[in-house]
Amino acid sequence: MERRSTSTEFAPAAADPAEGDLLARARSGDLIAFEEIVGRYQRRVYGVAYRIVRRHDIADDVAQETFIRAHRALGTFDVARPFGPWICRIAANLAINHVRSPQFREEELPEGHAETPAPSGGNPLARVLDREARAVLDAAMERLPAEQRAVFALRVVEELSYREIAETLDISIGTVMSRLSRAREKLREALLPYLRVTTLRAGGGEP
Amino acid sequence: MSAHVRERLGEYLDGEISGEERAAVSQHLRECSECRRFLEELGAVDDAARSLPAEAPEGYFDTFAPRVRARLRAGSRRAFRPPLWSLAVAAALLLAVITPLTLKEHTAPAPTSFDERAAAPPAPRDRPSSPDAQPVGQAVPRATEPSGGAAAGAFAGPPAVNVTEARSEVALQEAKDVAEPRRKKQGPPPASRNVAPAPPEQKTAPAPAAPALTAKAQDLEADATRYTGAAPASTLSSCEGCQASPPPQAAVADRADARASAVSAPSAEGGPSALAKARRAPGVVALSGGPAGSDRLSAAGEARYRMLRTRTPATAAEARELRLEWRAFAESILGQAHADDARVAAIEVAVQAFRFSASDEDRATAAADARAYLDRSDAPQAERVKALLETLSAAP
Repeated sequence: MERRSTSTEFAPAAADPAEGDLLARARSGDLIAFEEIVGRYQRRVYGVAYRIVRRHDIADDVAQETFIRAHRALGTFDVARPFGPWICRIAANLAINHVRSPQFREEELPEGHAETPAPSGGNPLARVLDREARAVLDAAMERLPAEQRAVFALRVVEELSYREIAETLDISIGTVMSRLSRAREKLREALLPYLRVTTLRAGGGEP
Repeated sequence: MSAHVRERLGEYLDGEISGEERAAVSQHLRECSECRRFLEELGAVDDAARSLPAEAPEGYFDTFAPRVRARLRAGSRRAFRPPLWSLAVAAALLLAVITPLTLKEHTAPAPTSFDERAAAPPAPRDRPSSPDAQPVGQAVPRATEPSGGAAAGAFAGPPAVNVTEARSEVALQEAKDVAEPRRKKQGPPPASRNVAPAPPEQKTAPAPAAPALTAKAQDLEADATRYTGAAPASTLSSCEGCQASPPPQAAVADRADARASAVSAPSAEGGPSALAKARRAPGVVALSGGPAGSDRLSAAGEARYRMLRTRTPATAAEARELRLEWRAFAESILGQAHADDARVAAIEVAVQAFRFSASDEDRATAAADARAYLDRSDAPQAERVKALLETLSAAP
């Protein structure tokens, strides 16, 4: 199985007619087809979950549950629509619910994000950002309310539009905007010392 | 003007303003270095955030799809569960009512000590459920009370032998289902709880009374279907200030759910049901000489603990997988017996993973786990963990 191929992982679903076929098969109960879909979207779903809950074990729970729910609701999914945003919605909502659960709060431990090892390189920005800046940003991210983190992750990482985020989280576009700008402001403040010293635009979208 | 523009730079960055407005902001940016810098900083924050890892441990995605599949398979069998459950429960209740009558004719002698022991567990185990053991499921004891008396009465009656049989029959029937703990989502059927005492995960289930059960099921269905199509604004109620509304609770249950399946998923076909039997028949566990004395941990927890103990990883991937399971298990039994052992076991297998792979990532994971443990306020096995940590740094 080639479910680990990263090229398909982030491909927009609608553009892929084969995916429509896969989804249709999965819908009619073909578990193999569904597994193929899981393979395609697992990293993305896990990423959404992780960026909101920020703990591997919980992100794992959320990611699994996301696919279980998706499978259950597949019958109502419009195959003509892109699958990615749809499943990311499920993941984002489940992740937020997890973060809000009393049990999560109770278990919130400082060691949480220490579990994720830093990437071993490759990302240009990872090289620019020194360890400390990364830790500072990470801590600032941790302090954000989950709602702001979710909006931020959906916008910045998943690149959903404000409207899509509003629909996903069932909030108004105004709320999306205010949460996003609050999140950005807090993160910017935290990173400010590093932003001013180094030029962080290294990996950024310069023409 | 500047402050006004500044507020909109995020939207500008996101491409969410267009036309004249966008042109106006662009114009302003050409003239105002402060806003330009602000925009750059926003962009830098975004870039930096994107570069933060959201990576799972190595090998995690190799086993992800099979685990989901296992849960889905378990879930599809669930379709038959409600009738099975009601049958089992009905049968148990019927037996409980009928056997005393029939046995009276035989005038059974006083119950042997075996009988007593077999029949006894349900009572204490039904309620150990003290608030500290069950932080979330406050509803559990309440839900148990009404019918609890009746069932306890039935079990405590003279014909303990028959009752024991009835119980194990129920346990067998239930065994099929336990590998798929999805039931918890609907809350355990109240009557059955009296028959077969609670598994530890129960603490997370809201345990609604019978009528609430269907409501919950509907709720979940709605939950599953509402993420469709255009997702009308009014249906996604779970996201805005709903601390007290059902979704968070459901999420908690889901989580326990996910964990429990994570544990049962890798076992062979026979595995889950054997485990299930143990879970559902605590009396059996107690009699077979298990550490029934560990009052806090239920039989289900014991069974799971022992099952995890028997597993010896042969590869780094297996060790990593086992680490996750130990961690999940430790979390599911917070504050109970073995929770600390489970935490330490997770560290041990993390170290094993590193032994197998010799990769820096595994080393970092194991070291982080160990340090996190040492940071705990309660770390009774700190010496052992320190030793483990030292072996990590000593390794080449």
